[in-house]
Amino acid sequence: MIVNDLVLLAEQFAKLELHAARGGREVQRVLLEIASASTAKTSFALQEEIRESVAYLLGFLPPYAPPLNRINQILVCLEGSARDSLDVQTAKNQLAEIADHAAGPLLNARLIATLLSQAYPEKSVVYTHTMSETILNVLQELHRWCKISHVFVTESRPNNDGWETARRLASIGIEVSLTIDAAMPFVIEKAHFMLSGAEIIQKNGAVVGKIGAFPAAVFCCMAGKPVWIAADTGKISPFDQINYNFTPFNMEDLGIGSTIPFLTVTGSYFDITPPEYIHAIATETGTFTPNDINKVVSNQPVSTWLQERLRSGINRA
Amino acid sequence: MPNHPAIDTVINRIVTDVIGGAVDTAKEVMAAMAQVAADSQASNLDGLFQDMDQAAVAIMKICPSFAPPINVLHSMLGTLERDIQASASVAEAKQHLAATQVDFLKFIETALSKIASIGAELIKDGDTVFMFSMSSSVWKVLRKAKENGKNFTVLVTEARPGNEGLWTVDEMHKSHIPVEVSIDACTAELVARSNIAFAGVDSVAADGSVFNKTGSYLAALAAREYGVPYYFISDTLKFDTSTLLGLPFRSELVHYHEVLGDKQYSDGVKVVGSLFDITPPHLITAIVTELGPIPPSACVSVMWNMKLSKRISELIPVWAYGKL
Repeated sequence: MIVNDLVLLAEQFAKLELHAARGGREVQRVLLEIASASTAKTSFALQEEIRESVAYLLGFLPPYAPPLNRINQILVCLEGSARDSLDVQTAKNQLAEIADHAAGPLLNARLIATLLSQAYPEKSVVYTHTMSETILNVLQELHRWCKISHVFVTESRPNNDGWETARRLASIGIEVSLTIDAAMPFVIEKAHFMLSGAEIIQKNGAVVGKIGAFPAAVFCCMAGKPVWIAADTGKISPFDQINYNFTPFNMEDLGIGSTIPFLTVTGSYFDITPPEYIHAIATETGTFTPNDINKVVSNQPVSTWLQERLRSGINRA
Repeated sequence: MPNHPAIDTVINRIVTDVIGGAVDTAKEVMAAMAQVAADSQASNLDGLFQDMDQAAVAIMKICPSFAPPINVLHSMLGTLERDIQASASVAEAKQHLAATQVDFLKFIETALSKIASIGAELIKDGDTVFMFSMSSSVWKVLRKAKENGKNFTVLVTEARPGNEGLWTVDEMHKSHIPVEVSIDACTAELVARSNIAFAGVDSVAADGSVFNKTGSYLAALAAREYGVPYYFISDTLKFDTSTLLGLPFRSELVHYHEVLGDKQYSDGVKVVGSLFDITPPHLITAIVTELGPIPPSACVSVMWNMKLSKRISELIPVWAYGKL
């Protein structure tokens, strides 16, 4: 049975109202509440009940690592209980012990900023695309240490999330310039490096991000500007393969008032930057090359059921 | 002395941006210059030259960095300079100027038709064609390919600010050519899906680089990355001879309201970027002209063969730096 809270959460994901980190926390809260209120008589039945909820949620989930990682953590715990034929109350108690051990975003940003500050001289010029809370916090830290002199940001259609980045950076005294997405090469040429957030850092080092991040990375490579990904380790996915089935945006998303019947609007909100375009990935636990990401999650247990579901595809409804 | 009314009219139309594109602007400039020549009361060639020169300077003062109108001025004043050198009569000179206008219109008509045929040959049946922004020359190529029985799909991005890519959507729909549209940030994705890419041209430089709506360079970089041939479509009227002197293209900047609309940020957010960008020659497969698809490195040879006016060539450096 799909509970109301889960339906509401799915709706929020479908409308992209939750960012990745908060989405992760919300998914964990709702699934643990479902487990706690469950009337299942065995740990196996509890596992099946949670799997049903997860299967429903996956139909709406954008390509965000934190919710997937929280789901994985819960399923691994349940699968262990079912395998060991634990009684349902013990299984529930083990689930309740899953706590949010992640450090606060500001502390992580400070750690990431420290790594970046060692890599670049003072008064660096940074290019970024779209908006990421991590990037905003990292830039704020770098600004505090006089490490950056200017930030260029592209507006990031649709949604224009780059506008918010520009507004927030300017409000804390960072010199910032905003331009259209088509002018990416113009601003990339003026920057020392690109700093980008991530929705998912894949095991192979590829990064899922807002549409436009991939071409920006390509042009950075052509212009000899290093591409840095800044994200906490909660964005790293332990799964071997995820088939995203990115849902294309529509005319309404683009604000196109065309009256042309059957016009196909193509493209989606996210793209994938392959590892070869990424210089380094800075996290709160250290800097990694894309090739090293595999090692970070190699010991992390993975729910085989979830891995199979992800292989066959997650799809935002 | 006040300007001829035809000159004032065309100046007003250029300044208020009501003329479609660079070629249409050139046609209107040509018509106005021809009118000045026809109505001139000058009794000798010096007087006629003064009338034409005054009109040319007035147009150049407000003319954006488009090659076609400047080439029209080269053409008209160059004709007159040759008549002065040959000691022709005023009547003969007027006749030659009228003939220059006729030749020009014929050139426009035949050049575009030749370009359409040459460009259409580059498209294969079943192709996916990426097109950036809008260009009546590229539309002609696509229509010709369709007319030749080729089935293909056009992918286009919006081309912010201005969203001229949506004009292409309308044009393709009218021509029954399947079209898909996306945002500029999807340029790489769309180019990767394409077999061939096209863009129009505002001006071509002597070194073969192309000045066009911002985003053309982005598309060219994507085309290079994915190995997709990238063609610019342009008649030689758009070859900017001022670049033979090493002069730069002049681009307008993107205005705040074109990006942020009425949204006001009191915190000092600056809007940067140019309305036009420059695609370097090494990213261009060829420029499809009425002479055929020519490699960027051959542009300079084409320009050396163009008939230039000595007077306009003298004015161009001052004009290019906005000090006319």
